[in-house]
Amino acid sequence: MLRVAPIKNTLLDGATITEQLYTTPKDCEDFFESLEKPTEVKATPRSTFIRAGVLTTVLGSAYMEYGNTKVLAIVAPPRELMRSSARRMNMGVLNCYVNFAAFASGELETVPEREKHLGGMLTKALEPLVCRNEFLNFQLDVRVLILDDDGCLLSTAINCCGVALVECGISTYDIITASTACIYKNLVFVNPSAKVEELLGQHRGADSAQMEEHGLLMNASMDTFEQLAQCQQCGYMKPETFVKLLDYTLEINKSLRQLIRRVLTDRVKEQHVLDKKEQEAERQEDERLAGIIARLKEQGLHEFIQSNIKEDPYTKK
Amino acid sequence: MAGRMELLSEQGLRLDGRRPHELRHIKCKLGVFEQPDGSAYMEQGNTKVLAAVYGPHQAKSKKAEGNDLVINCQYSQATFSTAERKNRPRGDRKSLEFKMYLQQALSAAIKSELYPRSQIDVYVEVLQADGANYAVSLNAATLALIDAGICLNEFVVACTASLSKSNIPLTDISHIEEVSGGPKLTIAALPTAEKIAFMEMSERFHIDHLETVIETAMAGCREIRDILERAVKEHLIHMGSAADWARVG
Amino acid sequence: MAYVALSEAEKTFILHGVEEDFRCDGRSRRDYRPMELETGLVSNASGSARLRLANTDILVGVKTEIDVPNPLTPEFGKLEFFVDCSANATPEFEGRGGSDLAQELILSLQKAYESSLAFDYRTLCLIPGQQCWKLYIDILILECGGNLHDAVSLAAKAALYNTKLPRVTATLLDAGVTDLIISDNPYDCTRVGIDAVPLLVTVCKIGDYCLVDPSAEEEVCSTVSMVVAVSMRNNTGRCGGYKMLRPFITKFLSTAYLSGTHMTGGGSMHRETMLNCIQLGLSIGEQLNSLLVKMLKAEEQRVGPKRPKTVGFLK
Repeated sequence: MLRVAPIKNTLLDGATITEQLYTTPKDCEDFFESLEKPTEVKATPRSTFIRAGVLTTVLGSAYMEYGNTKVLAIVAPPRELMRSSARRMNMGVLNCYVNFAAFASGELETVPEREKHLGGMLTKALEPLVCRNEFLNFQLDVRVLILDDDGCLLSTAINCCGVALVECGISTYDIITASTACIYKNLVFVNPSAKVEELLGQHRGADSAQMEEHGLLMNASMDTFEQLAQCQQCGYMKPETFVKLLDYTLEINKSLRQLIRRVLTDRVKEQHVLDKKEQEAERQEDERLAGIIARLKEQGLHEFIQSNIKEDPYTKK
Repeated sequence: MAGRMELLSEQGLRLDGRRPHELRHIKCKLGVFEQPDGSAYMEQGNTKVLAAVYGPHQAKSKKAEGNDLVINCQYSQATFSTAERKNRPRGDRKSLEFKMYLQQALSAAIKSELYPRSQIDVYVEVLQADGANYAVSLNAATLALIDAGICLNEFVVACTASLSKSNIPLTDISHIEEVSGGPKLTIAALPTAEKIAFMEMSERFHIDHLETVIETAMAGCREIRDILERAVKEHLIHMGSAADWARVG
Repeated sequence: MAYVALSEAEKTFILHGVEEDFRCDGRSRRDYRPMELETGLVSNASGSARLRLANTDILVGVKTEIDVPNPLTPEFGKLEFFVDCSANATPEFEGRGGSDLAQELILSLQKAYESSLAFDYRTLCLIPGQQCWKLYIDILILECGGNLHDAVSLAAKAALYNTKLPRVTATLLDAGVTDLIISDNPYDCTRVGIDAVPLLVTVCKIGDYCLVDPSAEEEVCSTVSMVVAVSMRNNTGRCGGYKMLRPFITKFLSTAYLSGTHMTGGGSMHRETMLNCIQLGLSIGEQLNSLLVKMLKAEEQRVGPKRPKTVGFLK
């Protein structure tokens, strides 16, 4: 990885030898060369695994694996607003909190800042999705736990939260899907891995003498009415590159939407079967009770008690 | 340096070339902003302060106890106001202290019996700090209160004073005089009534000199009051010229 | 955001005004409100600017410090943004009340300035890998009258233009230790290049139309807005020559770049609407940028290289 740690070798006489630790543009070039480059742009999602309702303790939860990125989202039912200042808005308030698991990220110093940033962006992306007018003076807390980071964090978190919201029974306007694409040295990476994102973020285009576009686009869309819930671009790019990346992400979002839809319908079916089973169990229980009551009526109270007394195995001796 | 730096040169001039009783150049303006009920900008030498007043309005529930007027102040200093960058604009010990002092001095001036169960918010923002921050803040707050049309007993003005090594009192201390280590006395006063609303002092001098230093600061207060009064009159004439008030002035 | 109470009738009135292309203050959808700009009025800062956009009042001070560059970018200096929402603007900002808004503005600016193509971090470098300038861009919001993103970015750019860094020479001492000598002459300064520094343009969607420079009342009516960071580059560079150019965008191809764009306001929009917004933002940003640069040059002429006579808040 493109990481350096400043090491100073202190000698006995107090002098120090610092090594040339700094990365040069060439290092970045080498790093870039070592990466696997796409030969053609395939606007398809990575291999994805989504499961709704993974936790029993909370009402709405979802787990998603997007390639190697692993995210867990938790939604609790709305609760009354704590801060009175936000009360006069005629909308419910949405709060998103993102946390990295302790093992998820290599750089620990930047974690709190990144968590805050991701939380803010996630809130912005989910605000258009949730029917916030349905829970006035209430707040909805969405929590995301990142288990593993291999790029596309924000878009995966959005997808996962979308599923968790549905699982929790929060009314939403549509299904939300999100994906990421980026450009570096005129090469388009869809669903960039953590390595590519790092190259974009840290290196910031070392050679500005020769103009090269670099940048990342995250797009969350709700496809029923072809609405974009959030579109966030960073880096430096031409407007038409923006359009190009946007169209790639929209394409990916479409296929993700199919997937999420299937997951949600499957989940409903599964729940239906479970409900059926539960009903069946309940019915059996009811039957049993009804039988007992019938017997009680038949035998009269005294006899019924007598017939149900079993000898105590300990006092028998 | 052993002992403190001499604040007064042999010719009787101060570090910035002023004479002992000379104030720094004062510029002020009322009504700089639209949104607050009253606002004022004040420059005293290189110390520049903006003040805004909101109210009187209904007191916020937790602060309102009894029938009294709540004067809510906030003192904050822009991060670029000092030579060394400040990390945060407010919330440090000094600004909390100044906030309390502002409340204290303003409560002496505002006719609080006219505003029961109300709250007046006074926000002070120091854009550039060059000594006597508290005094300039209070003066700006007074102007903002006047602009907001809040009844005052009198102008409440503040001024600082110091004492040079040769026991000559100095008016209106600048930052460089503050840090070169003279005593510093801050007085907030109602000059016409000759009442002192607030007084604070740092370092020491002999008690015999106290009276002269206080008198110097009071003289400074009176002078500032005249300047502020002129500014208020000018502002009123300017504002009222549409209603043909100018002839009254 | 400062809270503005509007009734349904008022909202409808504003909406109809926007539909007719004749807004409440007489502007069309593409017009900005009058702006006042002054630079160099804070003497404790290396550079400063005050911008008043109708009722929005921003004061920016740039402070400098010598720091060690990030090991990953040894040739780059550092920038740090800080936004303080003064309680003068609205009592809601008292204490920590303005921190959410401040955070949002800081993030937008950080993102826009992130790329080294947008801001040339190399000019802040003193000795690669050892010493660099760190600029603190401290933004003070004194009054909110809507359109904070645009006002803040304009003021920040003006303040950067006004920033003067003392010339620094390095001498090599024994044992490879370098020593920095900062020039004593106050006029011996270098400037920060601002050619490509981005401007944020907020394009606000009210009803079916997009407009720029929303007032505080219009911001309440809007469901969604798009913050477009427009950076102008003079060298056209090597164009990729993509075939799928849209005709309305090609017009601005020569110089305008996007350097950070996002949506705010809690609504969503259609793809075509968004492209329209970006197109509008780019064209407005281009005009705004050239006007700003012209104004800054004129301002510099007015005050001259010597100590400027500032007006500040006394106008």
